[in-house]
Amino acid sequence: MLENLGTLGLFLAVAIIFPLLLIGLPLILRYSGVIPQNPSEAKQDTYECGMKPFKEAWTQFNFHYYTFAILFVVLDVMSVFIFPWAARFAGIDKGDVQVWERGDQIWALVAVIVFVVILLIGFLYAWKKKALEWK
Amino acid sequence: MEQLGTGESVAFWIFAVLGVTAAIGVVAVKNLFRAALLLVFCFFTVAGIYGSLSADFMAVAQVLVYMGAISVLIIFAVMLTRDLRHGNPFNRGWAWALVICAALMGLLVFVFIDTSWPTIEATQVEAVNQVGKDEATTSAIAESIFDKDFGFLLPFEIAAAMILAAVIGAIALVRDK
Repeated sequence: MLENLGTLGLFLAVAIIFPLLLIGLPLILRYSGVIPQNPSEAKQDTYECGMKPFKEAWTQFNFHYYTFAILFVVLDVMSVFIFPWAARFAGIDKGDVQVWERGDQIWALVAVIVFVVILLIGFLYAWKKKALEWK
Repeated sequence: MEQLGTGESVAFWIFAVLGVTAAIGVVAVKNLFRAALLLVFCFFTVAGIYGSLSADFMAVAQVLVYMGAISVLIIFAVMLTRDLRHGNPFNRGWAWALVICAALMGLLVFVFIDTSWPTIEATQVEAVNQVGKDEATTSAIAESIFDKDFGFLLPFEIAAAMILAAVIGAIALVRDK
């Protein structure tokens, strides 16, 4: 299992090095004098090509976003609870562990259906209160 | 700690040092948005610590819930405030805060030292290693939740009810009157 995490660590190292390289390479070339520096207003702009920026990026968010964020957190937690069941149910990570017997499988399925139905009530409530609509 | 291999120990210490540094940064940085990003990084290092302790499901859940969802919530909350670049102001309460925090930390350290942590015997370590060390823990977690006789089904369903309460509460609070 830890070997898999080792692969993940390698991936992580590449993920850290790659952007550092992308940011660092121009800096090194700049300060070693390979690249000339002739700054102009257009070059110093936030977007060199595209729309002209017209105000600061730091603005207050519409508080309606917050509902979506909270609903997202809730559904995320739900997925975390369902994930081990799904992995066990399908025997995805079984190795030499046996998949559930029929009775246990149905038992777990019923448990998860109850879990999802309880959460569906919340979702229907959000729907009915028009919390999912953008005004 | 001595059961950990060298690789795990190195990973643990890297994540621990980075995590504590990030946590100090959260408090010390004045720009609230940067503090929030440092907090996300702190969450990530905690996931790394879980990983180095062979708790793979916990690590993924930490990344999914804390880095994925809680951080979005915190950043939205930060973006809802007006003067976020002047945030984290110091005021005259800092001395009291220092005293209370020091007392709290002293209490935590005392509890850590005073608790007799249950340790497993060498033979049991071997048994645990045979079952758990080389495979993912996700199945084992599912097993202990959904087992017919000694599972944790009731807490599982109660968690659903709690999440439901959170949804309804969130909607009731934010919805226009």
